[in-house]
Amino acid sequence: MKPRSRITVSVLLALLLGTTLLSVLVWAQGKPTPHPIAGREQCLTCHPTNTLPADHSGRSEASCVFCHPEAPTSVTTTPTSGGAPTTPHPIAGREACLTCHPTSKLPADHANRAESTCAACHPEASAQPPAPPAAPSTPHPIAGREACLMCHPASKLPADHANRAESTCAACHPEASAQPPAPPAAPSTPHPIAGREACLMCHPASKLPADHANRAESTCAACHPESGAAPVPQPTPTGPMDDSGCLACHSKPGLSYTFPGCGETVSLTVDATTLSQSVHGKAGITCTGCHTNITGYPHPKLEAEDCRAFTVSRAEACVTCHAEITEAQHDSIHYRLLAQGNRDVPTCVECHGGHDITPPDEPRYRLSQTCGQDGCHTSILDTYRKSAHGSVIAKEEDNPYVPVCEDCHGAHQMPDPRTGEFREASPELCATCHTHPNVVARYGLSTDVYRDYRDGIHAVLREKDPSIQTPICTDCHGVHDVKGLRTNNQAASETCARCHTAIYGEYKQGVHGEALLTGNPDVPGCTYCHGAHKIPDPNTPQFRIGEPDLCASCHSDAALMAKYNLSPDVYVTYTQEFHGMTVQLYKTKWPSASIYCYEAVCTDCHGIHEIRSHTDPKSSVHPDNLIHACRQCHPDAPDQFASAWAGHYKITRERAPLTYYVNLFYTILIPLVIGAMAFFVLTDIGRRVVNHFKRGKAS
Amino acid sequence: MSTHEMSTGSQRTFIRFDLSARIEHILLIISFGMLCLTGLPQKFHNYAWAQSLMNAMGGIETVQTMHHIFAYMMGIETVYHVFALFRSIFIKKSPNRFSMIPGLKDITDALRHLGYNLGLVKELPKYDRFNWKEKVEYWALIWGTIVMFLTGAFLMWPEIITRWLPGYFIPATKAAHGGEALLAFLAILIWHMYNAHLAQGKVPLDTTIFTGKVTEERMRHEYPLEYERILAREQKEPWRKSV
Repeated sequence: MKPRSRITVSVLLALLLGTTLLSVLVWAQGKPTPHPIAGREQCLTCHPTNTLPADHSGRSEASCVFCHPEAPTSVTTTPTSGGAPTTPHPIAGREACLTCHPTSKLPADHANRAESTCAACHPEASAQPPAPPAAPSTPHPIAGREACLMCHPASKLPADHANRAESTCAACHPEASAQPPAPPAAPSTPHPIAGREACLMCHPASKLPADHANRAESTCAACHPESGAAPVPQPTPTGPMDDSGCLACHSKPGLSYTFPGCGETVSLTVDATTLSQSVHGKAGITCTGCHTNITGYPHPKLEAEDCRAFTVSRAEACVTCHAEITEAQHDSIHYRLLAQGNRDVPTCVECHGGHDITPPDEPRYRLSQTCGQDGCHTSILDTYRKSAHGSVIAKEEDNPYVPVCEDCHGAHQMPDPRTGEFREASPELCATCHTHPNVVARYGLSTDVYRDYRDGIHAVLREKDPSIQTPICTDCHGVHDVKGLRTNNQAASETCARCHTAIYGEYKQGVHGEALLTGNPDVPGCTYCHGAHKIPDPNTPQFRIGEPDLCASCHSDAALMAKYNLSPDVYVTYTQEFHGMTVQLYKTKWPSASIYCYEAVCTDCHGIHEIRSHTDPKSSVHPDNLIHACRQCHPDAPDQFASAWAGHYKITRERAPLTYYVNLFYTILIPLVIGAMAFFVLTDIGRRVVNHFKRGKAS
Repeated sequence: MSTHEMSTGSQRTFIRFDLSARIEHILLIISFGMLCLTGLPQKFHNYAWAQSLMNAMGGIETVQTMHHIFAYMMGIETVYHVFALFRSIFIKKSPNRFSMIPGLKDITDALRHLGYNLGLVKELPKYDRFNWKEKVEYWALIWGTIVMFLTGAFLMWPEIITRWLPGYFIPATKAAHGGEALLAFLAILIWHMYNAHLAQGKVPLDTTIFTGKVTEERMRHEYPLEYERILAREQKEPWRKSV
């Protein structure tokens, strides 16, 4: 090889190596980091992925410094990022910055930054103001009333307090030094409170003043203490005898007894027919079987001061035969209240009757009616009668597929439904029927609701951390006024809004929400996108990557879109350009979305809950605003950049003339050139074949 | 660089491509091949084969990065080619320096070749150093490279391009990039594959572009005008006959 060739070879081989190396280097060039990196290695905290150039997606944090080393000038330690204001209050003890400065109030470029980094740019100002200025102090003792939101529900708080945690109230609203003696005009409780702590039982929430909504029972006494002179509950007794001997006297009308303690008069007349028709009468149980204290005439003096005391003492007679049930009853809320001295709770006879005891479930509906009788659970029974359950059984009184009170609450072993345990167990309670094939088939319900609910974010979150309050069945469907939500999109969405208030507020501003409020059944309510029971975590990569298909489930429906004069091609056009193509390919490569896809999906440009028409000047995709949507990922995009997006329109001569003509050019040029080449190749092959045979003939 | 000839054994061989050109060709094979492999599946991303291919190569983003790297490689190769051309024309003043310029003869040659294939003309035209088929391919490559680099740059740096041009140039260049890519790929598939692998005397492979050598017989047969020119020059200036 000649020396000159050797040089050429070296040059070109160097080129071959160099190209690869250089391309990697060119590819990897980056601006230096203008601040010290030490102590700030978590780059993504301040430079979240959505502010990075599109081609940075999928890179790991650890690799940032490879291309963006510390700039030499950064050694001067810039006093933190440019104009970040200092924190005007002490930070110690208030590290949960987002509590008072929710992300919605932060500058847009702060999205996704972690709380722990706030102080890096916003250090404590040297001169601290004594605390936030005009926050009024708390006019009552805080000890024992830490659950601030109970009396000061979030809806009553100033708008900028949204999302702040209860635990931080006192930071700005300390206890005022001079405490007013207690809330002013609250009337005191005219009866003893001991044994009657279940205030809501007699004073149901519906009867309370409107501003008492959401307050817990346990706080009533704080403002309504027991008044000095409490009236004592009232008495009454009764007492017949066995055999016809008893009835000889007690079947006479007008027989009565007046309790000496309270002057209450009760009838002592017993209807012989009723008695004989009762379960005990049929079983041949005599009067003294229950009235064990009476052995003859004259009867012993009644010890009971009043009728009520007598009834309670008579219930003890039931245990003679019904020991098991009585035993079971010892766990019930009624018995426990009774044991605490509350004499208003029912004993055996209040529910089952005295002389007229008949099977309590004939018909089944009677079981519910019993609970609502005599002013006990009347309002609950009224509510229940109108519910999905009650309305059915009121008509079909023996329907075995519809729950009556005792199906959920139990008959004798009746737990306190206000406890955490009852709440926690109640989804399973609902599931006993709602997974039952007979029930489900009969009423055309889904068998999967319970399983779906368990898989949903609400149940999953609570399973991970039981202290998180997430809804159970009854929170959405109602307790005694239980109802299905399938048929009413708006009611369903408003149910979600009870907790997700801010999001629902956003949603109502958008086209979907606006239409929903007018009763339009076509638009998606919350559950359309999020599901009703199997609610997925919407912040996962899986949910993100599924978004285009979710939107397309309506927006590709030609008939539906025609109704609103919308294009059904939005999804197809989306998948034909870079963003949609990449998302589509991500799904084929990583179906479980194990890799986060940074490529723009529908909501990145259109917004999530507040989706507005592109003709609405407030819309993020209005032509005047579109560039800001672009700049979320393409921060350096100039104003003209937005028009690179063809706007979900198909390429037509009118809409995108340049692209249209480029396509036309290649539609003509490719067949022309390739056709000509193929034609020549074919003639050449033909000639060779002909030549081959001619030569064969010649030889 | 001029065409050198060497004697090896009984048959004389001529050097048709110098080492520089041969390495350029290898660089082109690698970069063009990889650009097709990483680019066409992106154009046809709706098809299952394209998706499987891209997934096999590591996913769309890896494929795009590879596409960019091989684009840089081809770009540098192109710069080198321009530099080599410049040297050949202005510094070395090679006798073959204008041999790629198309002329009227190329059109008549093409028509005559076609006529020969169709049985209208008895003999093939006599070709010089580069025949019309090779010129078609070379200039198609030049045209394609210009279009692809221009549109590729638009697609790689849309934020910069739209500082000067309206945004609708981006989808238009994307259409052009895809159209031109398909044209180039099909042209190589039909024209180059046929002429370099299947044409008369080239099966299975014309090795000249890798060895640089052509036998005297092939020179006489395929490039008769150049062959005659070399022989005539050797007669006139025998001292220039090389190695």
